[in-house]
Amino acid sequence: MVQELTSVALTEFATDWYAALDRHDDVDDVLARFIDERLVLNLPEGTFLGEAGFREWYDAVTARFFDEKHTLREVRPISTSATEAEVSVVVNWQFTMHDGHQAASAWGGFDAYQTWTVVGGKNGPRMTVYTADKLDPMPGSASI
Amino acid sequence: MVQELTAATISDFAVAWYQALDRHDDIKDVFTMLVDDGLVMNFPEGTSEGHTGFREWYDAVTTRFFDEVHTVREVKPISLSPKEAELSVVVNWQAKMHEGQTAKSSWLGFDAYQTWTVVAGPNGPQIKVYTVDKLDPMPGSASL
Repeated sequence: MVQELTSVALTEFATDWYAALDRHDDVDDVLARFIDERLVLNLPEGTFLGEAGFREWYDAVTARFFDEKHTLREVRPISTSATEAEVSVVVNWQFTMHDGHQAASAWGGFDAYQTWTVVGGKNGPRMTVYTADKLDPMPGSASI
Repeated sequence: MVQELTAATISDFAVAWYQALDRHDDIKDVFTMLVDDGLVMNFPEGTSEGHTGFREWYDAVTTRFFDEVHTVREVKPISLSPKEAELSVVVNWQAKMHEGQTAKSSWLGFDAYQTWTVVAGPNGPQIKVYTVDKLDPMPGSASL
C-alpha cells in the first residue's frame, strides 16, 4: 500500500535524507531508500539525471566534503496530493573541505533553500525533483 | 659564503623546516633546505633520494595531511663541526586527514624520533640525510 504523503511523513523523509548525507551512507543504500528512478537534480554545479546522475554527483560531494552537519530548518508542503507533494525545504549545511595541496582545511556554512518534488511509494516517499534555489553563505564560510 | 654550523643555527633550522612543512610551502622553497646530490631520506613508507625523490614524497603528504602542527621537542647534536652535524631530533606531529569518501576526517598525533645529517650550505644549513627512526602514536591517533 502506498503511504500517504503527510506533513509528518515528509518531515521524517527530509530528516532521514540529511542524516544519510551526513553519514556518507553507501550510494546504493541512498538510492534504494530515497531516490525515484526519474530523479532530476538541479544544482548549482549542473543538472544530474536518474540513478547514473545521482551516483556521479554523490561520488563527487562525498569525496570533497566531510565532517558534514545538516540542520533542517523548515519542511513546508507547497502542494500535496495522494501521490505527489511539492515541498519547500530550508536546511543549514556546515562542513569541512580540503582541496589539493592546501595546508589548512576550510570550513563552509550555508543556508540552503530548496524545492523538492516527492512521490509516494510502497516503501515510503521518494525524491523525483530536487532543486537548489539559493545558497546563502554564513559569515566566514569558504566558497564552493 | 658558507655559514658555519652551530648548535643555535641547527636548532633554528629544525624549527624553520617544520614551519615550512606545516605551511605546505612551495616545493622550490623547501628545496633550498635540502642538498640535491646525495640527499637520502628514510621515511616509514620508503626511501627517497635527491630532490626528485623528495618531490614525490612531498606531493603525497601535502595532499594527504592538512591542519598540520609540528612542535620541536629536542634538537641534540650527536656530532658537530662547522661543516657537518649529526642531530637527534624529536618532534610532535599532529595533523588531520580525510580519505576517499569517508564521512569524517581523522586526527593523527605522533612523537617522531629522527636522526639528521646536516651540512653547511650557502644560505644556511641543508639536510643531507633524514631518517625517521621511530613514530610513537599518541592516544586516540588514527593509523598512518
